[in-house]
Amino acid sequence: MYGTYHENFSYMDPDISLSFSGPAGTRRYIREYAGKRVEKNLASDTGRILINPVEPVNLPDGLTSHLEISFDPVIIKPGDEPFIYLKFPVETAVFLESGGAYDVLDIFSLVPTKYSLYGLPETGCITKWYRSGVYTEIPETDPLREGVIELRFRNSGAVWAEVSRAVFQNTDMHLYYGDMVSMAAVMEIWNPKLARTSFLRRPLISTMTPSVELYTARKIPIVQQSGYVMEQGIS
Amino acid sequence: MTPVDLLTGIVNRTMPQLNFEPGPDFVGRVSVGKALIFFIILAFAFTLGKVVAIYLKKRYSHQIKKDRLNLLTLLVRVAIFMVGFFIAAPAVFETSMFFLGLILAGVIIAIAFSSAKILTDFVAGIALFYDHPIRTGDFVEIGANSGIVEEIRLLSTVLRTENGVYVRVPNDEIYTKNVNNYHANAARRFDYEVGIRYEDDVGTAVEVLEKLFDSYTHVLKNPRPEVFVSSFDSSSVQIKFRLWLPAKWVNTMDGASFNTSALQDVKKTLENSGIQIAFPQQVVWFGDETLRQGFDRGHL
Repeated sequence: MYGTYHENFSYMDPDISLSFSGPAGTRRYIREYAGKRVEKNLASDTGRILINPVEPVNLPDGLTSHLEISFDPVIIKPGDEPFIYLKFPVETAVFLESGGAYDVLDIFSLVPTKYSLYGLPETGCITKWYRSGVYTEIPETDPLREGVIELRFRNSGAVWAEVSRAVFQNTDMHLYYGDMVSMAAVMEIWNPKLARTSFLRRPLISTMTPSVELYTARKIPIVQQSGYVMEQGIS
Repeated sequence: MTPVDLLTGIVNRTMPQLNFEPGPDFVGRVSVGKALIFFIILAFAFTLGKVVAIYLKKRYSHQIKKDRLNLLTLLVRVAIFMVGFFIAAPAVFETSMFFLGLILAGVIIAIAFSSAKILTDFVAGIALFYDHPIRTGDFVEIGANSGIVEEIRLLSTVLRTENGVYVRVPNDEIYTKNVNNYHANAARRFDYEVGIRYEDDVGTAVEVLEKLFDSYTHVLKNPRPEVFVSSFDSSSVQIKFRLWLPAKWVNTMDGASFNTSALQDVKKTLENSGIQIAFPQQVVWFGDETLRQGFDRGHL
C-alpha cells in the first residue's frame, strides 16, 4: 500500500480497503476498516497522493507525543553496546502533495491502541504503550501493522543495568518503509534509573524509502532535540 | 501662604531645574518641532513594540500557549512604549525622569484608590502568568464554577462550562478561592463499585472485569486497573474498580465521558459470564419445620 500514486487506485485487504476514484477535481477517497467508513470528496486537483507510515503516537486522540515499548528485561553490563530488535505499532498517513506542500488527508492504524503513564501522575507523562518481544534478528512483520525498531544500548554507567522499557519522543523519529517499516534508535544508559533515547537517521535495509513524517509535513518548527531523557526509570 | 504656594516652594527646592514659577514657562517652552519629535519617538516605540511582539509570536508560538504569549507580548509592548516615553518626554518637555516618575506614581496611586479591584485583578493576572496554577485547555473548578479554561487575560479568566456557558472569573478570585485543576497531573483515577450476588463466583467477576478494562484504549496500562472485593453488604458482595485515565481526556468532574460506555459494558460483561448484579433481598429462616412446609404449600 505504501508509496506515491499519481492516479486513481484501490487497495483491498481482508481487514481494510482504501481507494481513490473519480475524475480529477471530483475525486473521492474512501477508507473502510473495522466497520467504519471514512469518505472524503476532493474538490481540487489533488496532485500526488503519498501513503506512508508516520510517527506512531497520533491515534486515537493525539493525547501524547511519546511511544513506550515494554519488553522482557534485558541486562547490560557496564561499557557494553548490545542491540536488540523490537516491534512497534504502525500508523499510516495518507498525504496529498502539491508543489512540495503536504496535507494530511487521513491517518489510520490496524493495531489496537493502549495508553499508559510513564512515571508518577504529577511528574510523568502519558505514553502510547505497546508490548513487544525481544529479538536478536529482524523479526517478520506485517508492514501495515507492525514495524521493527533496532535499539542499541550504550551502558555508560558503572553498574549493570536492567532495561524492560523504552520511551521515545515523536519529534525526532525517522521512519523508513519497504518490505517492512523500520526505525533505528539508541538508548544511552547513565545509571540504572536514568537513560536517554534518540533516533538515528538510517534505515535497517539500505533500499528502504524514508517516510514523510507528520512533523515534516505539518512544518511544525522544533527546537533541535537531543532525544528524550527517561527520568522515571528504565525497568 | 496657600497650599499651592507651599507645594510650589517644595518642588522648587527639591527640583530647581523645573523652575515652577507661575508663568508660561513649562508649556511655553515646548515648540512645535519638539512636540513633533516627541510624537515621532512615541510612534517609533509603538512600532518597535509591535515588531518585537510579532517576532516573539513567530518564535515562541509553538512553545508557549497562546494566552500566555499574548500576555507576554502585551507586557513587552507596554514596556517598550514606556521606555520610549521616558526617553522622549524629558528631552522635549525639559523635565527630569524623577518628575515623570512622580507623575506615573501619582497615576498608579490614583488608579489604585479609584479602582482597587482592577488593580488586584491585574496583579493576580501577572501572578498567574508566572505561577500558572491553570492553563488554557485545563478543566478546572474555581469556587462554584467549573469548566475548561478558554483564555487567561490580564484581569480575568474565561471558562466554558460543561453545558457551554461562558463564565468570566476575575483573576483575583483565582487567588482567593480554592482552585481544583483536573488537568494539572497527567492521569486521574476514577472509582466505581458494583454489587454481585453472594452465590456468584467473585474470582470470575474480577477476572472478566480486568479483561474488559484491559481492552479499553484509555484505561491506562500503568497504573494498572484495580478490581477487588471492597465489602460484604447485606444483599451483595461489593466489587470496587479503580481506573486511571489520561487527565486531559476527561473534560468533566465525574468522568461521564468515560462511564457512559464503561458502566454499561460492565453490566453486560458480568451478565454474559452468568453473574447477576444484586438487588436488595432478605432470606427468612423458620425455626419450626412444619411452619416452613406450610409456607411452601401456600397455606400460610
